[in-house]
Amino acid sequence: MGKKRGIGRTALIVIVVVIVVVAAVAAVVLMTNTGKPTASPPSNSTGTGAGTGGSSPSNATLTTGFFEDVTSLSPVNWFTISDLDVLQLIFNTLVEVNASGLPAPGLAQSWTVSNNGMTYTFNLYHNITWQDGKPLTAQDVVFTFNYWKKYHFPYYAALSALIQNATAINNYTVQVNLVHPDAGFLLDLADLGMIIPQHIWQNITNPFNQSNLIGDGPFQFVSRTPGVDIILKANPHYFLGEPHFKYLVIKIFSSVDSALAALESGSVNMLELPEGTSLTQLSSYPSIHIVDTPSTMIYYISMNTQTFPFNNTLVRQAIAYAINKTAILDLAFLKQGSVANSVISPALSYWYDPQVKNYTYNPSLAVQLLKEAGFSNSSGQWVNSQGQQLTFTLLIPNQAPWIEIATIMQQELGQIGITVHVQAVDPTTWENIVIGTHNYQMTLGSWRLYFDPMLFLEPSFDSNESGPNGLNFAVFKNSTVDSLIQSAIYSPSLGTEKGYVYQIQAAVSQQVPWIMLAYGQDIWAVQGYTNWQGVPRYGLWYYTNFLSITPTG
Amino acid sequence: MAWRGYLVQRLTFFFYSFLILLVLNFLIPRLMPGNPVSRFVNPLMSPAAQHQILEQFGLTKPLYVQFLLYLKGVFTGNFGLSFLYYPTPVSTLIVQRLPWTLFLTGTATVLAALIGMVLGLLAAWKRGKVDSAAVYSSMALRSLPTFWLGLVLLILFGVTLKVFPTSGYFSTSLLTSGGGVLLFIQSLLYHSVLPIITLMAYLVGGNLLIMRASTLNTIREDYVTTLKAFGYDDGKIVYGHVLKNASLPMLTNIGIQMGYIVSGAVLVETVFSYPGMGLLVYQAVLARDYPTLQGSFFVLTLTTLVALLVVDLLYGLLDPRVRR
Repeated sequence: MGKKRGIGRTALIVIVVVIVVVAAVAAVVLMTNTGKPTASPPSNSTGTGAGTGGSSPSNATLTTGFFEDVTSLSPVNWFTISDLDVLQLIFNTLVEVNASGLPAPGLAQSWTVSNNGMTYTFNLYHNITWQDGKPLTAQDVVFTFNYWKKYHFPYYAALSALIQNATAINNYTVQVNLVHPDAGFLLDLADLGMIIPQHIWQNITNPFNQSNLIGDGPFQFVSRTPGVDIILKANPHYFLGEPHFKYLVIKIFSSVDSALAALESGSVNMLELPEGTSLTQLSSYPSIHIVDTPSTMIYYISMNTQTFPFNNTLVRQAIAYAINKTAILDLAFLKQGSVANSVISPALSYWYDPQVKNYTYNPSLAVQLLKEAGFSNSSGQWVNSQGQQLTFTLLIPNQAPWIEIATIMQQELGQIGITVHVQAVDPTTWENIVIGTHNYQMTLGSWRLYFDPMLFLEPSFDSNESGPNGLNFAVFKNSTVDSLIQSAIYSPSLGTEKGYVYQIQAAVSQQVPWIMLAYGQDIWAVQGYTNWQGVPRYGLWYYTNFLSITPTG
Repeated sequence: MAWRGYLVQRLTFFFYSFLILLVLNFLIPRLMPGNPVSRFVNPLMSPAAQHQILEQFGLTKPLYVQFLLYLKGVFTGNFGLSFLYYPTPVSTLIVQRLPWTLFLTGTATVLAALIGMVLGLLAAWKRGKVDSAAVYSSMALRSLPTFWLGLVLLILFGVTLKVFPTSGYFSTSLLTSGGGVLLFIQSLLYHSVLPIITLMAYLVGGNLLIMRASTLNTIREDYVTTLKAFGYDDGKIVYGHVLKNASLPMLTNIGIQMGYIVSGAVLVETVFSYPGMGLLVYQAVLARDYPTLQGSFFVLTLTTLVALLVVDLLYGLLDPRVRR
């Protein structure tokens, strides 16, 4: 018996030893870290670069954060916008865009377009090399176009259907023939057309499962830890000159709170703030600067135009007048952004028509339109001649800013006697219902527009796209708009396309399958670097900005 | 004989649980609304492109074929390619993530068990003010939502006081600046302090209460009175005799805690962006990443089942009455 009791004593000793060891380790860790100024210092402004002096690219690290991790880092088989954001720093495109969202030189220093709009000839820069030292030539460009056509990658279906063939005239000249005229071709290339090295990808037999990240862009791929971070390194041989810092670290944050905490503690240099983030807290940090960039984000109400009550244009117009967009912008977006009139964002200044009708808040006009639509108000409820009541369900994803917007709408429509049931579901369920089956009455949504407006207008409003999983989830069927869309896509020049895009904006605004609520504003919190330069659509996340920024101090 | 019967009984239980786990593991992710492609949808993604990705993911095959492939995968250790981190194999992800969760939850469980045992023993032995303080504070700790406590600690120590890092498992600057092994370990421990404290806070409370109750029962036993009567000093009685007898219920409790630890790790790892299994499960659920969910649930539930089996067997070993 006495022997057995001895185990208790041994256990006690073990317990004490473990506690002492843990306490000692914790103490050591604490003591060695209390001397440091910040919690987890990346070598940004305090880095080693300052001491060496003179040499232009310092060893500084720029740390930034993503709220959504990248999925597939393949320049051909990528899936999400986050994927594209990272890939475009490693791979350049043939054409880029300027601050007005129009085509500008990329890998191609110039180009010509034939009069019929079907033949494009690109002249490449002569001094571009791949990150493994091999020169980039016209053969790589031709190979890339053929590669898209050979495999069916999710994002290259439209481009590969548009390209008839591509030939290398010489080492630095590429001629591309299109199946039909499409003025948007250059803009599509600017958004998606990352060129891949032939000498590497010709040996990749299964591009759906394999990738290679030797690119031609300003950054080289270093490492990726899923769910943790992506590390890129400045390309010292980049043909437009090396970035002014050495490492670009993208941390993946699982919550907005932890990202903001990292920003405030100084361990993140650059963060795009989610819509509706309060800036008062951040502005109390002297080192943090707020940068606004034009956003192509649009926020809208979509209605299923084939089912009661929204199969009546007058009802849709009435709802548009009954909603106070300014109140929504003030309360749900904290005044970050502007009130919307057209489906095209003013950030795409070339395409945006400022004259498009704006449904300014006017409840009495809304009431009048409802009466015209055959509804009469009896005991506070709108009823039509068939006895159908004007009530409906607003289906939203259970996230900010949708819940706030829905609450405001519910109250405003309630004031003129329309009862709205708000149903908030998780985002995947929402997508399944709205985009999958279109089995809803009214919903709220947002899109980030591409440089080519037709990439968005065609899937959203062409009646051919209104089937299950189609993006015309307003199920909008209008033959005038359909033919305008076809004319716009087949335009030989950007000028002609612009005319049609203006007409589409006017027609969609008049028919209101969507009620436009607001244009977004991209707000970035930055610190430790200067010379930030935003572009439309990408904001600060564009390679030209990463080439311009320099570490302070 | 009795021991053998007990062993067979426990193993049979384990086997059936495992079979149910295999089926649920396949079905539950697929019962969630939506599909893995819906999060990719944007104006450039045509229905044809969506279908094409589903095909890449192997989701256009009939359900029974998917199930057979999954079963084959389970027994060959191949859980397929993650949809979320396509085309990374799920097994690679689990190998990367599991050690971090085991490190966090393992440390938290062991520390919480030790602290809970000692404090529970003291509370029961001393009674009075010490006891009330211990009981009330552990009730309070147990009632705090884990993610809330994590956020409070994060804001207090990470942002305001800046004594601990706010996210991650070690400082990325070590990768770019190149640091020694010691610096790495230091950074690792430093990053784990807040998550471990958060996880421990809940566990300590529960352990303390169970240990206290069990000690209170034990010290009423005749042999304790006898030892007191013989004039043994308190320390010897408590640590030499009461501790071992009162610890038995703790063992079950720790086994049950393994289940909590998995769910607790999801919340704590999300708050601290700590790249363990919990964060992986959270991200996989949002992305409807079936292969990753299957792989990680399989590993996590198997861990819990094995822990429960070990506890059952240990219990049988320690307390002969259980075997009957």
